[in-house]
Amino acid sequence: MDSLSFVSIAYLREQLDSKKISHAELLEYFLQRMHAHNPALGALLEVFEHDTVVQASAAAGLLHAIPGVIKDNISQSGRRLSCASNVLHNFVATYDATAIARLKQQGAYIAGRANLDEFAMGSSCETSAFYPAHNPWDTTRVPGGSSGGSIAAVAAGLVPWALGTDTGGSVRQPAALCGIVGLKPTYGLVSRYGVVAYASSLDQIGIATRTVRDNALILSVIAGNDPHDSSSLPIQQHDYTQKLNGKMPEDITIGIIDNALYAEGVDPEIVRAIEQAVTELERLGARVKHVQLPALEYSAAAYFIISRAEAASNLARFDGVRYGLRDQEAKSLVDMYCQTRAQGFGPEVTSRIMVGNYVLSAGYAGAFYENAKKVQQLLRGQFESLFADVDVLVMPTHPEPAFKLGQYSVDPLKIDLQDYFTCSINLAGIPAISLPCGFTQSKLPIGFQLIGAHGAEERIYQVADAYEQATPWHTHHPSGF
Amino acid sequence: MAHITRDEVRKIANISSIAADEHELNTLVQRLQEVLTYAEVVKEIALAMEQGEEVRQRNVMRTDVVHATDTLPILLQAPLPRCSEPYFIVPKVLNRS
Repeated sequence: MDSLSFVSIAYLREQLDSKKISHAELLEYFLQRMHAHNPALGALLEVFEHDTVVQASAAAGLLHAIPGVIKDNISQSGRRLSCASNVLHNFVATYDATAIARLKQQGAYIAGRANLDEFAMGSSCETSAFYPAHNPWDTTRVPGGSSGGSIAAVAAGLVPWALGTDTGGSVRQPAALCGIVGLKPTYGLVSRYGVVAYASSLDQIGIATRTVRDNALILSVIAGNDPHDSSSLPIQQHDYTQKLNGKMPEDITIGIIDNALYAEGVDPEIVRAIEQAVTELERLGARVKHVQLPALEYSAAAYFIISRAEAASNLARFDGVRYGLRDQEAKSLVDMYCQTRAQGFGPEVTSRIMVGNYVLSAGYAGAFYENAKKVQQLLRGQFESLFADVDVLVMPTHPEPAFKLGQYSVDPLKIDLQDYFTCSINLAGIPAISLPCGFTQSKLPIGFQLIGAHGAEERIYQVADAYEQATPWHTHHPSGF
Repeated sequence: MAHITRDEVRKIANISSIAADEHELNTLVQRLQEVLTYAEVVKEIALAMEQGEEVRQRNVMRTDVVHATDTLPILLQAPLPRCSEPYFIVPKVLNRS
C-alpha cells in the first residue's frame, strides 16, 4: 500500500477500476497518512471523517474516489471556512463553491481543509492564525505560500491533488518550493464563486498535483463558464488531457525572459537549473528566443498596490455584525467594528488593509492606484507583443529556494518580494504553470514557469508534459513520508 | 522615499476600522513606510507612458433576478446575541446613556 502514496491519479483510477483496492480502502489509506504526518507538516487545518467525505460526493465520475484537499478559503457546504483567520474561526460555509460542486459531481473525495497564510496574504504560510505549514523536503523551512498547506500535502503524498488560490503566485511559488506542479489558469477560466475574495481582479483558483497530466485532469473538471461569477469567461468545459502525449508540439517557439532569469538576486543554483531546462526544451524540438519584459521590474510594486487596495475593500465585510468573531465588550457599534477587527486580523492582514486604504485615499490614489493600473496595462501590452512572436515564455518561479521558518520575521518585504516573478502573470490575467526542474546542492526543489497567452492552458500543458516526460524531477519525493 | 507620519497611520487605522495602540501604530508606520517606498516606483513608469491610453476593461452584466434564498442558516452564523429572523443585534450606534 505504501507504493500508492506518490502515484498518479491515472494509476489510482486503474487500481480502483480493476478492484485491486476498494474506494473505502483508498480513502482510509490517505486519511491515515494525513493523521500520521500532519502534526509534523501543519498542512491541514481539518481532516474530515470518512463517512462524511463519501456522502458529500457522487458515486461515479472522472474523479470518483480520488481524494484531495481544499485550501481553506474556498467554500465547502457544511464545513468550516476559516481562511486561517481568527475573524472566521467559527464560520461554517452554507454553500459549495462552483469548483467544489463540480469536483463532487465527478465523484472526487474532498478529504480536508488545507492551511494557508491568513486570507491568502503571504508567501510562506507563516501568517496562518493557527499554525504554520512546513516544507516536506526540510520541515525547518517554509513550504511557500499562500497555498502552502495544499502544496505541502500533495508534495508529501498525503493526497494526489489539491486546490489553492493564486492572486500573485500563491500556487506556483509554493509548488516550486516543494517540487510539484502548480497551475494558475487564465483569469475567468475557473469560477471564483465561493472563493473568499482577497483581490477580486487577480484571484484565481489554482491546481496542485505531482504530474502535469493530473493537473490537466483536475482543470478539465473545474474549468468552464459559470453564471454565478460575473468575470467568468464564455468558455465551455473541455478535456485538457486530450492532447497530452509526452511529445513537444511541432513548430513551438519558446521565449526566455532574460531580464527575469538574469535579474539581480536570483539564486545562481536556480539560474543554472533553468538554463538546463531550456537546453532540454530545445533538445525536445522547441525553438528558443531570448526576449525582454521591460515592465517586469515595476510589476511587484503595481501588484502590491492593486492587491492591497482590493483587499481593503473586500475585507471591510468582516466587522462582527453578521458572522465570525465579535468583540463582546464594545459599548458602541463603531467600537465593536474596531475591536473585532483588531482582535480578528493578524499583523500581515492589518498592514495590507492599511496600505490598501492609504493608496486609495484622497491625495494618494492618483500617485499610487492609478499609476499601478497603468503599469498593469503596460504589462498586458508587453506580454501581448511577446506572444506575437513566441508560443510559450519561460521565467523563474521563485528567486530563492525554501527559506527557514522565521528567517524574514524582521524583514517582511523580503517575503512580499517572493512574488516578484509570479505576480506579473496575475496582473496580465494569463495562465502559467510552475514545474520542478531540479534541486539545490542542499536538496531543496527548484521550479520554473511556463507562461501562455490568454486561454493557452492546453499549449502550456503540452510543453510541460513533454518536459516532464523527458526529465526525472517528478519522480523525486521527500523522504520520511 | 515615502514619508508616512504617525498621524496619517492613525487616520488610516480609523478609516480601516481597526483599533491600534501606540506600540502597534509604531510597527504599522514602519511597515507602511517600507511597502509604500517600494511601491513608489510605479510613478516613474506611469510618467513615461503616453497620456490618454485607457485601461481596456469590459463589464459583464447579467439580468437582475431575485431568487428565493433560505436565510436561516446564514442568520444562524450571526455572533451572539442573536435575534430572530430577519434581524441582527448590534451595539448602539450612538453611545448615549
